[in-house]
Amino acid sequence: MWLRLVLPALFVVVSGAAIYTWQQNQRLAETEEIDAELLTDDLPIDAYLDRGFEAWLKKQRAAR
Amino acid sequence: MAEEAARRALTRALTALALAATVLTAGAAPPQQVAPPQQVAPPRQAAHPQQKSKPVWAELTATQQQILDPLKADWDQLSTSRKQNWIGIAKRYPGMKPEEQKRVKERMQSWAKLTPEQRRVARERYKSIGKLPPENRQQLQQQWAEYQALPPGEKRMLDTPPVNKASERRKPKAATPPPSQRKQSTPQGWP
Repeated sequence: MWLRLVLPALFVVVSGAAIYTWQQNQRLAETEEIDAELLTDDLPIDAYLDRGFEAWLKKQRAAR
Repeated sequence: MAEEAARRALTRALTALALAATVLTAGAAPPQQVAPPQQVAPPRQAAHPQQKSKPVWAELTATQQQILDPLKADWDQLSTSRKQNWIGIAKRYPGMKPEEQKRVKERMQSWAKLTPEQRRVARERYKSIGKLPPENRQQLQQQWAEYQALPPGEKRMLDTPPVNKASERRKPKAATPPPSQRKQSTPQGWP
């Protein structure tokens, strides 16, 4: 009788944990991919740390 | 009677379990609200030098050690998630072009030494301005060169945080209050 209650609850917990783990792994994989691209990029990392460059680019694109 | 009480207790326990599971799932749902692992996990060694996150340098394969050599001195200070990130990059390394491999080696140390916040910002900017088709890459390089050639004063103006610019823009619209009232008009919590 109590199994009818425990099993669905267990299913919810296990599913939640599985979704959480999957999302964490996805995030780590995405971070790793971007890091690899940044490290190999033909622009130096400084370009992506420079707020002024981003602002200047936006200004340039808006002017066109 | 006893059976009824036991059933009620069991129902309460299961409700709590289901609630906990819901919270867990909800917490995992919006990826952007959860800080990346690099920010969540501070290097444990700082507080407990005797506890080393895994894997330690000696546990890496010879190939991994060779690729990650620029990080050797700092390896044991990195968190487990940062180490896993670098191991993942080391796995990609053999598939990179020679000039890309050279860049990775050159940039490893400086990238590792950035704060988690700086890395997060660089990743966000890369996603917004760096992800371009190959034909536009050349143009971006030219634009970087042009930007670097700008006079320092102009660069400094561009580097002003957008929040300040917005508040500056807002100022002329409102009638300038006397100095005694100006202080009150500043939103709470502003420096």
